[in-house]
Amino acid sequence: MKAISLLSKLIASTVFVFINLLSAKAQDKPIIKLDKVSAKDFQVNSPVVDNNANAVILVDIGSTEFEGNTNGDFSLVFKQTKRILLRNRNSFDVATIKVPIYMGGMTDEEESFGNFEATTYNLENGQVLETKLDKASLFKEKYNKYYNIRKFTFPNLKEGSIIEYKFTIKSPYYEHLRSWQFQDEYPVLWSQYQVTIPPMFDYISVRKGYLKFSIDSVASVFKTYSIIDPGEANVASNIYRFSGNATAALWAMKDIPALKLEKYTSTNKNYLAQISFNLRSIRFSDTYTKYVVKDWFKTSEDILKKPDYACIKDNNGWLRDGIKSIVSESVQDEEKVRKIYAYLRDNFTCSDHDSYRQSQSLKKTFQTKTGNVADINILLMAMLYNQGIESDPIFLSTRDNGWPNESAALINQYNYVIAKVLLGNTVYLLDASQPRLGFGKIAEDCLNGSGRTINKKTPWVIPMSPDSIKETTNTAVFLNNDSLLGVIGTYSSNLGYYESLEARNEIAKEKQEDFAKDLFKVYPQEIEASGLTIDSLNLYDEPIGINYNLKLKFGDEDIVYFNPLFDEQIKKNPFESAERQYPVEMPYAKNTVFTLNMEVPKGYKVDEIPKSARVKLNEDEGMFEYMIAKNDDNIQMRCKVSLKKATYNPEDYATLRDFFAFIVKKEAEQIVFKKIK
Amino acid sequence: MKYILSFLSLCFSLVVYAQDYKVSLIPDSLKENASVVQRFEEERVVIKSIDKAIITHKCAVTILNEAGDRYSTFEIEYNKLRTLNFVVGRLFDADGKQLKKVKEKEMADQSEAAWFEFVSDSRKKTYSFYHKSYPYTVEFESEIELHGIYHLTEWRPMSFSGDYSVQQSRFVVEAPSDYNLRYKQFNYPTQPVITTSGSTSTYYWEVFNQPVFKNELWQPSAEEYMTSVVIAPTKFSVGGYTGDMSTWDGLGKFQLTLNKGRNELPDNIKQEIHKLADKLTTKQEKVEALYNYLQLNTRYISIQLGIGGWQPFEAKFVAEKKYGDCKALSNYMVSILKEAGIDANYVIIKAGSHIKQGLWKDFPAPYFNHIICCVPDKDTIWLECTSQTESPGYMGTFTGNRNALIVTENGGVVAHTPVYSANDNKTITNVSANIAEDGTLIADVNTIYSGIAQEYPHNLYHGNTQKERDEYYNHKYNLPTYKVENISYKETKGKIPLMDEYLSITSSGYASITGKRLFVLPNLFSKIDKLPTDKPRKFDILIDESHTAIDTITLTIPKGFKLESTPKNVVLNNKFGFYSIEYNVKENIITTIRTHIENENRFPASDYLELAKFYDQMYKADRAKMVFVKSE
Repeated sequence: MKAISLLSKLIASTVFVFINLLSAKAQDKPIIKLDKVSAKDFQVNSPVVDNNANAVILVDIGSTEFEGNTNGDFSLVFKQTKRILLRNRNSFDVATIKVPIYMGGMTDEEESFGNFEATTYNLENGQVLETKLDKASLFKEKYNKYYNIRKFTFPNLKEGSIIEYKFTIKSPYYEHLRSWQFQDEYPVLWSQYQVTIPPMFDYISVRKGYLKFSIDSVASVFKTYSIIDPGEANVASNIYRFSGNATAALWAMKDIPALKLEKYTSTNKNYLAQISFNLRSIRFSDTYTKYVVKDWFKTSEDILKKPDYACIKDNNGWLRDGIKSIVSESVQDEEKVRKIYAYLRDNFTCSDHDSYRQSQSLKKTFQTKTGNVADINILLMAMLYNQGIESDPIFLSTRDNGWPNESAALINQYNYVIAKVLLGNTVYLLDASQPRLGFGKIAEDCLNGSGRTINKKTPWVIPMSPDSIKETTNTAVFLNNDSLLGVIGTYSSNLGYYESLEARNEIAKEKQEDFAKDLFKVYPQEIEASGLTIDSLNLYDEPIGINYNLKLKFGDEDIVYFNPLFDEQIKKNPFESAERQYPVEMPYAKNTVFTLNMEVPKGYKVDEIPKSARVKLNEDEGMFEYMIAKNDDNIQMRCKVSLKKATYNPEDYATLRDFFAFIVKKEAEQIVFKKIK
Repeated sequence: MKYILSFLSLCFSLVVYAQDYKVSLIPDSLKENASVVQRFEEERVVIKSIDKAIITHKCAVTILNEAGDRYSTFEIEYNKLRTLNFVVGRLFDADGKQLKKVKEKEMADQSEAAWFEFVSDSRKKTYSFYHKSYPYTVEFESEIELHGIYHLTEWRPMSFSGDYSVQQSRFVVEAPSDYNLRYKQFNYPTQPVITTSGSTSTYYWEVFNQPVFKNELWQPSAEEYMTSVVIAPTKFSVGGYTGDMSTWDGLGKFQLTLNKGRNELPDNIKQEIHKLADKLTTKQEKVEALYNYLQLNTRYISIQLGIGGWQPFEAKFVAEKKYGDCKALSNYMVSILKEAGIDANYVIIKAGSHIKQGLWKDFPAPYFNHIICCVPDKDTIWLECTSQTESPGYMGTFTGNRNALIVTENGGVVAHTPVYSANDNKTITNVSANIAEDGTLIADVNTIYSGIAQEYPHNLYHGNTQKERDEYYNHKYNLPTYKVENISYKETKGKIPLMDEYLSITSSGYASITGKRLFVLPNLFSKIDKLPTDKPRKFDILIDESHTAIDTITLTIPKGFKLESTPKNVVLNNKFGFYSIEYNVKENIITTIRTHIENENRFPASDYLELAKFYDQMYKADRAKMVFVKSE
């Protein structure tokens, strides 16, 4: 805290510089003061409000200002006022508000919560009736060691009530200037956020979402800030006053539609209209500016200097014996890396896949065999280093955390770290935090566009695009006539890598017997499956193979209808909804090939078989092929569905859906066998 | 003391509890099908007085494989009336060597209320060892102090989970000799061992070597086949209130003292009640109008603080805030009805959709988790006060068909909540559909749901937006590529509520055409699944709900096809139920009528294969296809 109280002394000598003012043309006026709730507010007329809106956020106004405090520093003052119309009782949950208040963690400076007011408005016989929430109904709850929660619920709710609340949070943590979310699961009629920043502070703002701002302006306002430095023991306190032009930025949106959840979307965070802030720099004087956000070269250097990552290259003598027993006789680097990787993957538990920071010391991770993803992969890098093998951390953002913005070195957007190792001429990306993950493979959730190398000389972006990952599943079925048993055969399928991983995880959680049961359940009564064997189940670098036997009970029917794809057919269109707002994001591109070689069952002849067909998806983005041929004794068919990419734009959605509709229809077709009389 | 110990060792085959967690000591029979073996458990309840008790619990489980990891997490709830004195956890390797020990301060502490309740003083401590070298053993030990005794505890040494076996578990209750401890045991072969030393009596129950218990479909309630012991006080005291729960009457009287003086309503509410009710003549009409008033004007918010876990907020509180939990809202409803001159009671009940037994009549104890309201009569009207949409008088899967405790002005009385027959619970579907030349199906579907069958559409209608319903229906059906449109409902409230649902469905490729043939599955929606028969049946079969489903489907196919093969009509009538499906093809119109009736019933385990055969027959009949060939 010492360093921060110095702040006031340093900046007191600063001369403020005028900032060039940019002002976008305002289409709407910001709300300075909210009008009192009146009868007309209960009637909403907006293009974004339809019957599906259980609630409508009428206004949501927020601001963050800086204020000098009495600890020789600035505080952030965040204010919010929100007014919501509850159109029916299904939105009453909205009337229970929970506000998290940061308590500091490391330090014990708690954010303060105040100026709280909450009121329910009801329209009765044309009159607006107010019910104020009594202060005794504001509850404080300790959520965990980092957060307290302030909770309240509105009294006297009816269908059609308007609720309004406001509060102020003062915070000493100006690295965490509160972000603002304009969009919500309910439509919002007006949302605005104003941030006023003293000249010595500089923030980078990051915007997300596709919606347009009604107001997007920056103005200069003259401000005076007073900071009181309490001084040390026996030293009188000082007051520092400084004035200058602060930057007042204002953003507003009007008529914001409710955010809709869709399938095959990695996260809504990529589309939700919001703005967030990263402290770039603090200018203490004309000659000294402290940069918080730097370029990637300097940022990498800083990260690697911090104890979290510096420990990779510590002596770590305590590791030696453990490593020795893991690598044993190996001398080749690759062999050592593989052994260390497998040891961590198979013996350590990852309790949290959402951090690039260590949660505990390297030694503790090694001893307890548990930690977050950073603990485990940093340990991996430290163990490699111990064996003289260099590696780089790769920061990435998982799919559910949203796309990273690689244009500035904003490390808070990442939530995951893996290791990059060069062996010979091959680069391997290693993640020891995922059970059963193959050497050099990336977990599905990490395929989110890109990763960032943390290296002070080569801090390059590593592409990790879902479109670049191709999954291929090959299935072959052979059926022939057996003089005793009738039609029997074999099924064998080589799964794609991620499909294999999924199967491995399933088998680990249940018994192989139950896995087989689930697998065989799909066959109709006339087909008996048995004798499951699984290849490469424990060879994690390889895809697995699934093999079993089939027996068909044709009975004595005159006509037999037979689907040559068995259960491999796609029975249901995966794209159910008729329309789409956001891109379809699948984790990888997928290719499935099914082949059947079948002897015509004894005593029957083929009366009819489906026609061969081939369809392309948008020229070269995908293909469906259904090839079938017969002669007197045999039927051969090959069915292939291939998608060349993993991401499809909303414009392509209808085509994609039609493509699958065609597949579903074609794959339902049957072969007709007729008894030879 | 020495005498007691030697006496105990005679009674129990295991002489010393050295708590040696070596995995090699687990008998093979306990490893069969197991992911977890419980090695040691002792739950010890020390009753100090009418309102003080200490509950210590120590439990060690060996985790054999990854699937058992979920049992390595420890969780304990505490609040103002149940304070946590200490908790400690230990981790052992396969040889029983201690690897790690954790104390309370290293455990995560979180509010229980954080998400599903609004305010509660309940918190929980949790800890996971995240160990990965199998097998390993975790042991947790905790001590809870009860400040006030009402609900004591239960001992349930076995688990439902299907991969959990028990090597040993013990339940010990110490109480002053004059305490009058009551207990009820289920599937425990003998009486407990009771010893007395000075002025303290100690009760012991213990089980050994219980293999993995496999669940079966439609099995009777756990108390019929699993060991458990429930204990309860006779005289007790909590939050400054005292009672005697040795009779249901006494338990009811205790609730009366908790509720006393909490029925007063403000004048404005009284006026509203009279304005609504006075003009009505029958009791039924008044109850309906006032229940509707409650539903329109209140909502459910859970607030559980101290004795507030059992005592309702005053009616005045609800009148002012317009919210409350089940206790507060039911108490408010009772107050409203009384103001209108209608006798009404507060009812304590065990809610939940899989509860088969609300209480054991011969053993009064607070088994409950919910409160409702009733208007006693020869045809009692039951009211669920936390729902804003339920019909007055309807008690569905959440609270129906079970015993509950009515708190009358004179004390507690046990009564049974309504049971619905196959005639009450119905799903009647009428489909009129067309198949086009390319196999596309266009269908208008009308379904009338009643009784328990209407609960799902009821919730869908009241709790979801049109968009969400669209989404639901567009996932629901097992049709190739389809779209559901024009979803609408008509609701009819009543003792047996009705939901009338209308849909239009378009499904491309419903009928498949291969060359000259057209394949049609005439039974569009109702398809029964097979029953598993891979394991011999152990328990009786309990069908706990009656239901009737009738589908009438009229399907028009393109002209110019002639019937090549048609499934046979099927009629199955046996003790398990009635099933029939019949087809009628006239030119290009197929009419299908499918009926399935099942009644609440109980069958011996030996009937299972016959039941499975019945299901197989229905499975096959439901999926039979009709084939047409193009006329030359």
